[in-house]
Amino acid sequence: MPSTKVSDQDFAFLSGGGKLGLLIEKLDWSKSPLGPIRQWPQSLKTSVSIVLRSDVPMVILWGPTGVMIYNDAYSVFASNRHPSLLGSNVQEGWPEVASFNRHVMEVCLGGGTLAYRDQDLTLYRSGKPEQVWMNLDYSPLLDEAGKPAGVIAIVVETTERVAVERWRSSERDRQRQMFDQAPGFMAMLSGPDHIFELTNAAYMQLVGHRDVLGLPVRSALPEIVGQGFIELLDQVYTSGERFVGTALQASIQRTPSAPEEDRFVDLVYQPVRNPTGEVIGIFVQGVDVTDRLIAEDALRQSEMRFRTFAESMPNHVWTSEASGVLNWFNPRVYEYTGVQAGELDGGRWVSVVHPDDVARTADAWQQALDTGFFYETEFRVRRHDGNFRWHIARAIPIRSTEGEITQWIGTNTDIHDQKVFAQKLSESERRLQLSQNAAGISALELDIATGTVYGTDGFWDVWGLTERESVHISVLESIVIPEDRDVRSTEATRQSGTAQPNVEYRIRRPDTGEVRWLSRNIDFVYDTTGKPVKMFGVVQDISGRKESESRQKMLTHELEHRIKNILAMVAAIASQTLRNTDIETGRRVLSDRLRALAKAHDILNDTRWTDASINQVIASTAAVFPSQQIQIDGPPVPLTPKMALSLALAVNELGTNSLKYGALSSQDGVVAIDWSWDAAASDGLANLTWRWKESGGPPVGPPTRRGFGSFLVERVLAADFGGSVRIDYHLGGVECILVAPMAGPTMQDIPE
Amino acid sequence: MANSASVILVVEDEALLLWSIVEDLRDAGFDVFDARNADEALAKLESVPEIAVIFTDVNMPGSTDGLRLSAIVRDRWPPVKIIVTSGKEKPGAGVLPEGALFIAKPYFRDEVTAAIHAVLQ
Repeated sequence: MPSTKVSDQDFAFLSGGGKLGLLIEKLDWSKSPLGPIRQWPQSLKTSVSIVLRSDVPMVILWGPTGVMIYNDAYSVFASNRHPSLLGSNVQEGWPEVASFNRHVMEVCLGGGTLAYRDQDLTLYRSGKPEQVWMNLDYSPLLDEAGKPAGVIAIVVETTERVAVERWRSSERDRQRQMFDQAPGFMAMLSGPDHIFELTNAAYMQLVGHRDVLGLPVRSALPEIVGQGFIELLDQVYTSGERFVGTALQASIQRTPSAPEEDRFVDLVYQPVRNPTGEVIGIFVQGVDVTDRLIAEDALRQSEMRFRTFAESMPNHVWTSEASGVLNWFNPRVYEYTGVQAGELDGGRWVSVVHPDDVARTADAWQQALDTGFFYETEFRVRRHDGNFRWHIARAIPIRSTEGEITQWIGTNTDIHDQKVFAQKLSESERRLQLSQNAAGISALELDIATGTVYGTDGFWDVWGLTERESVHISVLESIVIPEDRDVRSTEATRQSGTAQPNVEYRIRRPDTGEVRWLSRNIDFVYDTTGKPVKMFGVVQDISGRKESESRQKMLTHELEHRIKNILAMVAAIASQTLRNTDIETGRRVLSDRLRALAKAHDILNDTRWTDASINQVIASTAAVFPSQQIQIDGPPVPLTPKMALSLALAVNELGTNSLKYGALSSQDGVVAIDWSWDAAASDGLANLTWRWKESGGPPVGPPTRRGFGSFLVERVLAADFGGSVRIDYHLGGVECILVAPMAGPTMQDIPE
Repeated sequence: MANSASVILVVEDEALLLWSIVEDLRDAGFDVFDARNADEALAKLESVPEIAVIFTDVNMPGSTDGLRLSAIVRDRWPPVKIIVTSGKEKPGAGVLPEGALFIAKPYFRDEVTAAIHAVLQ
């Protein structure tokens, strides 16, 4: 309490009276019913001095209107009403409780006292309603004449304590509620006869809501007599040791007048002792586990059914923990692997998996475990005889009602035969494909309704398309060239099944723009109504064959033409040879000429009538003459068939003439046949100069008559070489020179 | 050139055949001119108006073959009779000018002289 200083003797009673002491001194009391402090009676001053020095909130209500004088502690209680409350009349200072205070004033000024404990009041100390609880004590204050002149009030706020008590009381209610609503059953039994003191709702439900409170167990639940429970209670009561029992069977009547029912309970009998340690009762607590046991039993049965089923299955069946550790296999697995039961559990399963499949299988299994999804993989499992067979493994996770995986159930099915068959089929398909490829044949399948064409690998290449799965028939139709539109199948001929089965048509390849010949053979497949549904067939690029056929045709024509030309030549030679001569000479000369012609043909046949070597033509024609007297020399010159024939005929004529009249008629005569290229060339042509020069024979002169022989040499040879021929009848021998511009010599053939 | 003899133009690129048939036709009493190709033949037709018959091979080097030559002759010298020969198949209908005769190779002198007499009648 802060020290105060009071200047006047009249105010000495306020000294040490705290903040309120100073406030009282300073307040102008002259206008109040009490008048200035100097005029206050001693009894009031004494009362005020006592109040000001107290730590307990106190207020004096003086006079019939109850003028308020209070201490520091009360000012805290008065809150915002302070300091205007000081010196005011009580009924105006606390208008919200005016009637209560009027009653207080009446009683105490009448000499009585009042006391309230935890009085409930609503105050507006801070402007808003506020519920408060208070202990209030009111006593009269006597004046100098011994008559009540005021009231002293001791005001202690108990709001906080009351709130705590209220909360505690509601907490007890809650506990009680919890007890009552606990899922397990609970009961409190007292005394050696086990009288029901308290039961909760679960207990009441267990016993069929019978009115058991206040009754001993024996009479409250007569049906359990003889089931051993009362004996257990007696034992706990006398020994003071608690009893714990699980899955105890009890026959209880759960609804009035219904037959007894078997229930299973887990329970605890807990002895309850008084402060001196004596057992005074038993707290019973337990759970009805009947439903759980039924569920467990159902699970057990379901598990048993699964095992029975799994064991009788022809497949391999196995289970795994959620972690992926295999923990059970059906007998098929052991029969198949020849391994002792139980020896595959955990990681040992790997020992019967093909070494090449272990890593892949483990990965797939781990992935299934990670995702909690379906597991499926193929691997080889070793049979008891050491052979590995392909199996397909599948497993699904089994989940609890909470969704957690509790285990996996899996099967392995032997797919070895199918797999091997599929492999063989695929190999056979591959072989077929390869042979088709090798033969340049590719296969197609057309679905007539949709127009979709499926092809084998080579099919797309034949059509100049990129590799694909299928194509619409219209695409292929547009590749067939318009001229062959009537040859290929059409929508109408496919629908009616009247498309030509074996046709050849041309396509323009979309990739290269090249025109190719295709041969296409098809068969229809019909539905039950006889309507064509599919078209199967093969396609082959036959451009090569077509080309060789056309070449063959051309060659045949060419050959016919050539034969007719030869016959025309023979006819001409015969006609001219036999003119104006005797038959014997004519026969010999014709025979010689035809032989020369035939030899030239031999050479041309060797080169397939492309060209002939000049050396060969001359050598073979000259071979019928004395060869030691003939010298042949010259570079290689390719001759056309026409040149070869006329040169052969010319050499034959010159030789025949020489044999008769010239160098070859004498043993000393020599014929030099030589030829060379002249450099005087223009337009890529060079001059070939070919010479037949006789020497060492008898003197010769020009012939008296120019016959067919001269014509062959001078006119035909010149014409067929496109050049000129000159025959000189020198005295020393005949000289024949052919000069012809020719294409073809390469640079090294031409002399510098 | 005797007035009585018919004038024949033979066109043939093969020298041997040309010379042979020319000799044969002369022997048969015709007045014969020869040409190695279509250009030579046209030049002869222009310079010798007396030519009554042209006997030509189909296959000849150069831009104009015997068939085209025949068409030109029919167009420019309608009175000139035409006989065509070839070692290949007989040209189809409509290819030869109207009134033209065809002789297949190899031919013989008598065939040719008979054909000339036939067209001249």
